Amino acid sequence: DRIEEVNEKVEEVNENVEEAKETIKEVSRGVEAVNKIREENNQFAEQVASLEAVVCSGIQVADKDFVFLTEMLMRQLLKLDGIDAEGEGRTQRKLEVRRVQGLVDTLDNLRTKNANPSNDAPKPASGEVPMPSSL
Amino acid sequence: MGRTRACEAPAIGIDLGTTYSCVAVWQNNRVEIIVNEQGNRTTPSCVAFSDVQDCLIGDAAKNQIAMNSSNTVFDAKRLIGKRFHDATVQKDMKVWPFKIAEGICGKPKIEVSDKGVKKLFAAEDISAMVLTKMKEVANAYLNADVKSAVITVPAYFDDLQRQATKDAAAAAGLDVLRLLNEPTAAAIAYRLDQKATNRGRPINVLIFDLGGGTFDVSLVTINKGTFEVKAVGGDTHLGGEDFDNQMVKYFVEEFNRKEGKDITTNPRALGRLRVACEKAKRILSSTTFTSIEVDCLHDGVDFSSKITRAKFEELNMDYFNNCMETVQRCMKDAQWDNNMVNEVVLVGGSTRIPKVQQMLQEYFDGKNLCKTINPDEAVAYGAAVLAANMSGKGNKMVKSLVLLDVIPLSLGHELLGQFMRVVIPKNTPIPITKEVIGVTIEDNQPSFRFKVYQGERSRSTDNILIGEFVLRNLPLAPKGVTKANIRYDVDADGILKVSAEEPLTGQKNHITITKDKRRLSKEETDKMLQDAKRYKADDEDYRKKRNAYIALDYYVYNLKTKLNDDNIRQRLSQEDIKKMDDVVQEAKEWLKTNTLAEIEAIVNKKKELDSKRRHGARTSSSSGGRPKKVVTINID
Repeated sequence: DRIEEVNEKVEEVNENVEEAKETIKEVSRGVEAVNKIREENNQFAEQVASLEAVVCSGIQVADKDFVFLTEMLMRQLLKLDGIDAEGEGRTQRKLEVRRVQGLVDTLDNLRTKNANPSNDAPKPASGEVPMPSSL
Repeated sequence: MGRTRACEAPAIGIDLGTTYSCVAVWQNNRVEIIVNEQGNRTTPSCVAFSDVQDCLIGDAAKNQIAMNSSNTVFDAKRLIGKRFHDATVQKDMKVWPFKIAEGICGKPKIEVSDKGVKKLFAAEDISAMVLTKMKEVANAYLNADVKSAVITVPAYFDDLQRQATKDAAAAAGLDVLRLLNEPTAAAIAYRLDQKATNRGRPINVLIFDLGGGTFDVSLVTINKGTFEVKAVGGDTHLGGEDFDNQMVKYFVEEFNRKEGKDITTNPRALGRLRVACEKAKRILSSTTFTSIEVDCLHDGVDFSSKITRAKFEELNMDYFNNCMETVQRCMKDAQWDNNMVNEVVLVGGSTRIPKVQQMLQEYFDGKNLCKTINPDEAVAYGAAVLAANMSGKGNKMVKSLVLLDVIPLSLGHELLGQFMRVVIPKNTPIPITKEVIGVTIEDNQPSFRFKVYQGERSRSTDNILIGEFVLRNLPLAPKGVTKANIRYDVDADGILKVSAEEPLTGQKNHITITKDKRRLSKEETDKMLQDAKRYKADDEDYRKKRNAYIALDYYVYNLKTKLNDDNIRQRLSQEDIKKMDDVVQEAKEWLKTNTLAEIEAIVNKKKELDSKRRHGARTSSSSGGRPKKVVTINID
């Protein structure tokens, strides 16, 4: 009886270990998935930065460039929403969502600024500046 | 000689859907659903034009819909073969992000900006692009150059919509082996016809098709390879998207209640919530409970909630009830009892919803539902089976498939006295070709006017005029001498062509009937058939009346001919000739103005003429000084 009891305990522990391993796997899978999208986002962040530089120099940019980049970021957001994550993965996902939303907000502000350029800024023809793009 | 063409590309089956399309092929002794370059088994029926690049089709087009919505065209199937002023077009236009303009002959045109140039496209142009895409997907998978396809269309599509779909296929470089009704395709997918052939008695099938945006119910009777659609019903704007919307509404309210924040003013947040809801909906088809999480949904606040399958069902109960009411109405239309349905077939992604299945099963007293084939793919599956069958491929089962369609109402043209001459009787399997001969009804008749009708009534005008044409420049000859060979062709897709040729001169003309009048709604067809029954006696009277009329017409004609005969004229006095000419003239006028006279009137008229004829002959014998031989103008 004793032996049986011990065996049962051992089994239980083993199960717990398996479960823990599974959880670790799941968490790391989530973290990995978030990392992959984070890398993609780095490129979009660069594009937002370039666009910001252009707009701040007073050059007017075609409106569709903002629309395009915003849409690409929204799609990244949906990808992040699609990740089932626990623990650390969840934290990472949330961080990345905030980052993308920050980029989208930046784009919104730039777009407003682009649409109403201050009077002293030079005004070349719209859409003349090619968008830095990796696509 | 029989050169083996092992490398010949197979014929494919294409389900050209409103929101998604699917392509399949018979290969390796089974139907294979072909995945596109994105690895997806269905492809959005979506085309996007852009200022900078060539147009995008399928997933690529759908993926950029939000940023280029006015140039991204979808739902072309709702527009194909329709008129700009059709009520459905006017209604749909209001919700489409792309512009619709009125083209020539009232054809709706989709207005887009392609590489900075304003362009107008017909719905069939868009469908052609989608079909091209599906063909390319198949070509890539098969490493071949596909030439022919079976393409599916809804059972309720009229001739114009069918013809336009064929035009789209032709533009996509596809030879259409057959346009196949979608419910029939689903029935084939389940090989229901096989069971029918084996049993040797008709089976009744209900096809329940609940997709992303449309809902169709079709009742089909399968009898030895004949698929007869008995009733159709549905809602052109009901589907999975509506279920998502209900869930979104529910969570918007919950967020408002919990956080005191309204996200309806934030389209991006709504978009994310909708995607999350769609995912949850899918999960709820296999589990009874799921959670939904969206980080920083609105104003930096996370959204996290749970939903049970029961709640989802409660949210959409009205929709589900509507579906069942439609089923009920259809059954009533076809005059079917619940126990008459032998099979219930599920088509469309939304039929995965357990509640929908349960309600259907309960309606049919626990009957098992056919759901072994992926509901998104069943229609393309059936189309691929028929494509293999029609190109002589496939296993024994596929090869033994016989598929007959029948014409729902008799086809024919008008004869003298507004009489319907039936050339192709109703329920004739198509394709069918029939030839009849027509003759002139007057001397020196210069032309034939063919008025083509469909329907079951004796009097042509009680039927439905579906087209007319004229064969001109006939050789001048006495009544009944000049003939026309009249040919009716109904092709496998139900499209009617009537042609007429005068054999001596080779004069010919024809009409292809693509009037939407021809494909009647279920109600109209039923009414026509019921009327035919109800008015059977009337129709019999009309037939008699018409025969009397024809007899009188013939009598007058003969009288006139005789009067023109010199032999007879010689033997009559001028006065008598004058008198008889007047009688004939008056009779002809009477015939013209009394085409609809009652049978008694016609018979009386004939008696009257007869007595005048005799009277005329008698006077002639008594008036002259020199007795003339009594001349009777024999009529027969």
